[in-house]
Amino acid sequence: MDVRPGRDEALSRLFEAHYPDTVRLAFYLTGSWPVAEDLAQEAFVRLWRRWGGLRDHHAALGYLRTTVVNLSRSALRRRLLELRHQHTISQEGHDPDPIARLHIAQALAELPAGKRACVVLRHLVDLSVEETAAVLGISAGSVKSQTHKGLRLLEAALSDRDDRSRHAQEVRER
Amino acid sequence: MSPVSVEEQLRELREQALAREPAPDGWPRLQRRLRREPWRRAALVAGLAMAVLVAGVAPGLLARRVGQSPVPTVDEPLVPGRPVVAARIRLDRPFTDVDVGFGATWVASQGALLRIDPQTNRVVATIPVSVSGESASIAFGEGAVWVTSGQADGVVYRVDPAGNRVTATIGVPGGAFGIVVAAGTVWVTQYLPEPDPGHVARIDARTNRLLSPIEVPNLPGAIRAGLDAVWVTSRFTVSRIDPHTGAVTQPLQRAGDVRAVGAGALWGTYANGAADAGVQRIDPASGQVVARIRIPNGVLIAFGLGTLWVAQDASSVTSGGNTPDRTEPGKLYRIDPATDRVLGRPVPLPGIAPTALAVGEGAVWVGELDGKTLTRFNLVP
Repeated sequence: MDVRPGRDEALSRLFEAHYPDTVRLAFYLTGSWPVAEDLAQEAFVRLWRRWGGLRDHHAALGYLRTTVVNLSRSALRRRLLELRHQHTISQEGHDPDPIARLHIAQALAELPAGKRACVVLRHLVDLSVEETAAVLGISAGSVKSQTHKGLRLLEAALSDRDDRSRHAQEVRER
Repeated sequence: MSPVSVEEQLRELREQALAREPAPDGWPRLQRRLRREPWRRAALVAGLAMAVLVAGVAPGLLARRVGQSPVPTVDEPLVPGRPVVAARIRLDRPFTDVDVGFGATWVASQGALLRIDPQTNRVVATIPVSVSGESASIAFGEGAVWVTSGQADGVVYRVDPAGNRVTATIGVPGGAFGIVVAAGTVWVTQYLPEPDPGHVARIDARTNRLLSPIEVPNLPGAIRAGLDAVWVTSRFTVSRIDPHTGAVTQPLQRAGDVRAVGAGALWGTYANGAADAGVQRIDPASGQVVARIRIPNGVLIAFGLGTLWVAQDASSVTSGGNTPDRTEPGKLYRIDPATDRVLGRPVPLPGIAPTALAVGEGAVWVGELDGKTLTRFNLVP
């Protein structure tokens, strides 16, 4: 592969400025920090490959975000399988990472991909409706409705977890 | 629980994530990945050579319509007319490899092998196979279409082109990427991270069973078949495998890779610098480079319709700064094997960069960067 003039240096600057945020975006979407770092790396590699082909190099950040969202879908499926496997072995099913153990992180991971991406981009990355629509390639109206439905699903999932926790506590106290 | 508490929990999640930094080796790790990119590219384009083989042995293959007289095959040099865009075929999923065989154009796409009817340019069959959208490859031979999964947990699918269905699923531990068929055997590159040796898996096409693998130098990428041999490009070497005995030799001098076989020659790439790069012709008998054709950013090569086709990647143009000012689109080049010169003016490629190239059914087929569009070029008579 040919190295295009300016690409490596531009990538270096982009990496310095946006790598941590890219990892965090991937973490919000997958619920796993190690997986998130892998996804962010992959997203930068893909950006590098396609640097010369981007119609607008200022759109690199948008390309990174879109790539992370797309990659996270398959990565999350693998991660859920891993967690199920861990659960079978340990009978605990807990991720050793304390952030990943947050109920909200687990509930996010269980949302349908589109709704999860909308909630993450709107409420955790703080993108506008229009920016979110551009990253996901959907309309602003879809972003609004998906975000709303995602929040409602999160609310129900967290409420359900609280109920189950209370029930488990009651059983233990008996 | 109220919606406010969901948002509070989201805020807490964000604060905890903001307090955490990625591992400090992120940049060196990325640089290591980028250094391996040329070899990934080599694996990505593996499998195109079988189009040459099929075009060479199927009389009339190049006739696009019933009743049209057959055009010469690859062994009969011909100077085709200028290629023009005849169709832009938008697919519903990303794809990597494209190849032409059994009167159809086949596309290895994410989760399915697609069959396109060249008469209508429409997808006429979607055959579910678990292949990746990035590194899967296609080959033809022994009455079947063969597709690799393009993944480290390798699988090769055998597809019956008459019924458009998978007739065998063959596990290839260690990965399945590039693929060719020669001498009744299916040859599959295994792109393993371990340094030495590399492996080329073998499948007996009669029984669909794995045979013992062939060892080649590390990181085998592109694999091509032709001139009664299988040619495997490793990191620093090109190996010639005798398809009948499995004997491995390295007869080529100063050849970095072999990407196509045609007109009695091997064709690869060279790069002495960003501007001094292109395609080179290698004499298989002497192993010497006998011609060089300068085409910077020429990334994909295929032989067919009597000429060598080179798809050029897009390139960035700067005026001294680090940020590219504009992007030049890539072009499709034809090289006449009789003169080793570029034929006519290269044709601009639509889209922003080529990702796959195949020749057959009287046309040149180019996949492009968005991963979902296949462009068909017909030749002006």
